[in-house]
Amino acid sequence: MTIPKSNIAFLIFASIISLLTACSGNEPEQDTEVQKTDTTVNKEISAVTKVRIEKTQKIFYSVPSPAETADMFKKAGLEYNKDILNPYNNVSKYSTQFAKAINLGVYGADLSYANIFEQTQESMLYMNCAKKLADELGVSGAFDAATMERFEENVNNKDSLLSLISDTYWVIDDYLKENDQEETAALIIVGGWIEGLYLGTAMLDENMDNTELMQRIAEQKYSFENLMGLLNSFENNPNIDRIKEMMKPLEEAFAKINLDAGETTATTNDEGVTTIGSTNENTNVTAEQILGIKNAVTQIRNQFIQF
Amino acid sequence: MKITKAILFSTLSLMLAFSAQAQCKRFTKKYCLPTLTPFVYNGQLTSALMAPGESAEIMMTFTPGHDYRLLFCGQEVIGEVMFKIMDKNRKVLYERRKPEQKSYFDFNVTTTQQFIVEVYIPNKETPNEIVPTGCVTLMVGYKD
Repeated sequence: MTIPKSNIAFLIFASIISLLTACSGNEPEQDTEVQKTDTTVNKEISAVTKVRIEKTQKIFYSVPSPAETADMFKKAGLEYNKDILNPYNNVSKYSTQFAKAINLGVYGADLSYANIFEQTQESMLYMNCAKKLADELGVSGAFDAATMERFEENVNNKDSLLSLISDTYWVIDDYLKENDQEETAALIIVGGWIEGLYLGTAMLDENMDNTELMQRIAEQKYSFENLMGLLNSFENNPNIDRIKEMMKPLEEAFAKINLDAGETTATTNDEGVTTIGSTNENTNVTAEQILGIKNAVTQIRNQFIQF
Repeated sequence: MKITKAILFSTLSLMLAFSAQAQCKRFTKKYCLPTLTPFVYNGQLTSALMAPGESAEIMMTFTPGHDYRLLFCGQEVIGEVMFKIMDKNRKVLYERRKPEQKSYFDFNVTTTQQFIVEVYIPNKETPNEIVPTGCVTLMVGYKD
């Protein structure tokens, strides 16, 4: 079988156009009808993917963002303590891609925590730490001049800042995935999740009596399972394997938590909002179990910030 | 000639996949993000290229103290995006089965909940051999 020359020319042209589009990174928003363009591109993709479409199911894992976690712990009675944050002068120590990615997650969680508790000064400091690491990871577009200006303008507005942090998180995650750096994106998620749990447990001792906070910490077992699902989706990856090994004490601590919530219930109000609960919402978590989680997460987090 | 064709075929597939990822981002920003208002986007985007007949599962965790919106978006070319929200034992809590139903799910939880979210694209007849694929996005928004 031969391919007509005109078809070869089209294929080469399409490849060049695609390459140019893919390499453009943060391409400017176009006013043209995106959906129309997408349809054209989809047809091209379809023509070449017809033979590769398999009826396998894709599986994704998602964990709550550090801002959601900090907000949840705050509502459960957690108090702010700036002394437990990763010191900002540590930022210059991180020299490898691995350490930078993990600690971008850590500083992102510290930034979210400071913002949730409306700590302006720390928010700015940790935003600068996150910017430095994102720039060094090559995601300079995440904290461009316009974004930094918006941060400064909104530093006293918790909700606006939260929205900006989320947008920035998206830009970073998207950039990394677009550039085939899924591992780096996962490391940022791990760093942020561990720091979020660390901040929630760091000030607890054997005299803890806030049952709501204890319950919320125990329930992080679910997020942990999703986090491990995300890590397990990587095969033969030394950096991810290293993280999985470090997670073992936390896996053991969560294994001692029994979250038998009973049947899930769902009721929908007149406004169409569904409340989802469980028939058994008390899981009898003990201080010893929570201290086990605290000790395990502290050990992991301290290793992270020492990389 | 067969080798040349295979190389061109593979190169084009790769290039278009990258291109599609960028297009997916623009599509999400322009058509999905505005629908999330008044919820604050949590910064985590799950998106994939899907074809009619395909499905995906997303394992998600939600914590008490917020109202959440799970928003599903898909490019017109593949048809409507349907979804099921299930608990960890796969008990269905909500399902979008018809296009008339909302493409989002608003909810809150009284204890931390682990959901299995299944997204699927119903099969559709195509007049030719081309199988349409398009961007499907799941966004999470929350508010106090």
